[in-house]
Amino acid sequence: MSTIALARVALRRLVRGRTWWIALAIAILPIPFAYGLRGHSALLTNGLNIALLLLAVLPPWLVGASVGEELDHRSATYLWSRPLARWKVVAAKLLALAPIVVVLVGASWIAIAETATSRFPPRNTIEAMLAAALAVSMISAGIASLAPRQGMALSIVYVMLDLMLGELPASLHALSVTFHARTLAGRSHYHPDYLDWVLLAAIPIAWLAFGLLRLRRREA
Amino acid sequence: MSDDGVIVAERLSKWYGHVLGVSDVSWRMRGGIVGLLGPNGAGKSTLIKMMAGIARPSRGQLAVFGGAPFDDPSVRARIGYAPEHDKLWDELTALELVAALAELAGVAHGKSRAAAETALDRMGLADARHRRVRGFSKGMRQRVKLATAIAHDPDLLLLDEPLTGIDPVARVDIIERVRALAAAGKSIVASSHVLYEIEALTSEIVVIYRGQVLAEGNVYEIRKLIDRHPHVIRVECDRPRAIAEALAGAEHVVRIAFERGAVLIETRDPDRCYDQLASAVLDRAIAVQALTSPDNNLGAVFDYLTRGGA
Repeated sequence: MSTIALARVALRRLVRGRTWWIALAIAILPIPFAYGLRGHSALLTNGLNIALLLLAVLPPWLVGASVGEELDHRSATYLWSRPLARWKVVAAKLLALAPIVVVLVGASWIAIAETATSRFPPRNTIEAMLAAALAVSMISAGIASLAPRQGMALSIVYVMLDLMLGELPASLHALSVTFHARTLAGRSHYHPDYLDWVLLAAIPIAWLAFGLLRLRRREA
Repeated sequence: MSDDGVIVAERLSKWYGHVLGVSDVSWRMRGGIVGLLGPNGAGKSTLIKMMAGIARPSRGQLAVFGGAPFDDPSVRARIGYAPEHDKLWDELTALELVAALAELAGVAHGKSRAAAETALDRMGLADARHRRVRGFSKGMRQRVKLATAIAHDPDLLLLDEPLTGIDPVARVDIIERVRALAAAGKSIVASSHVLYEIEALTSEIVVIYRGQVLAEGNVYEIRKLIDRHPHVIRVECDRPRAIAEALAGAEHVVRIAFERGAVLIETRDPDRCYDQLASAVLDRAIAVQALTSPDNNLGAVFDYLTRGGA
């Protein structure tokens, strides 16, 4: 019940502030670039790469910043003095904001693909993008729980590194969520299998677990 | 540890890295209103944060209603906390804010709005309940904080500097409302660095300085304690040594010291000292530029009590 109450507060604060409009603008931003891709080769792959860049901005902006602000901001004293399990604060933020990230990333990807190829994108690419959006939202929440003050900035850096890691031919790319998203979308040199789904879930869960563990002993 | 009391602290200490917040505090609160008095940085907020369960003791034990507030949510459910700062969720209306925090404190969703309306009404904010907190004055923000603290009907209220920064009219009003809460059976701990604010709230005072409890008890006892503290008079004049000679033999004079162009006289009988000073100045035709009493600063009293003068 308290998770729902906190999620409601997070949503109200989002829609009454500027954050929401900026997020919307960020989601629309890649569409003109997709238009510029028309007439070039590998449209879907290039379009997907543009959409993946959204992951470096939208989840940190919506989830990382919100979790970090709540924990770093002195309003946390109100939360910690309540009979409230601390993981619920992060869970509530994810409950309220991750669906918005997922919808924005998904809608943006469909718009990018439609603009670049004049066709609705394949289902597996949409599924991969939605899963990646959720995964990066969880990672951002975990990072912001570990380092609230730098939550958004560190999340952006993390996803940029993740994108680079995903391009490496070595097996290190297994640690990259964007690599698994690209593989599941059929846009990498590897065949998608269940392990991609497992790792796409396991990496964010690990970050979230680290963050929540740290949060348990955090004082205001 | 005996849990006979609303709050029981035994040898309680709190460090922030190498900085000592609270040091070896043993204290017991049985109910009513207790005022925590101490200058800024004395450790009042740290002590209240530990009682509210948002900071963990580094050493010693703290029991609120017999449990550890940091680890036990059922203890925190019985506490209402109004922090010193007024950072709130400014995008929400007063009603939304108080209702949300009441719900987080365990009030059912269906009842949180009514609880918030009652709390805002008790704090004199019924007319402003649909206004966003962002536009509230300092006094209104203090009232909203108090409303968030009482909305879930807690047994213990922890109010950190509840009267800071508000105008005199609002001050009187809030004091009355806090006293009404105590009359309704709530236990209340309120902190302040201003003695007269605390005196207006309660006669039970705990004096905190440099993280330690220096004295506790009835305000009159503490006043007596403070009155036993030698009074310092600083006389800026053209011949400080002449003043010192005139007063050196007086039995009420504890100490005489010199500063550049001034003499400091420490006395246990300020009235007699002022009389003798006047005589000395007139008899010896001393030109006095200024006469001040640094002891009017509460910090000086705390310093004296810390040195063991009490």
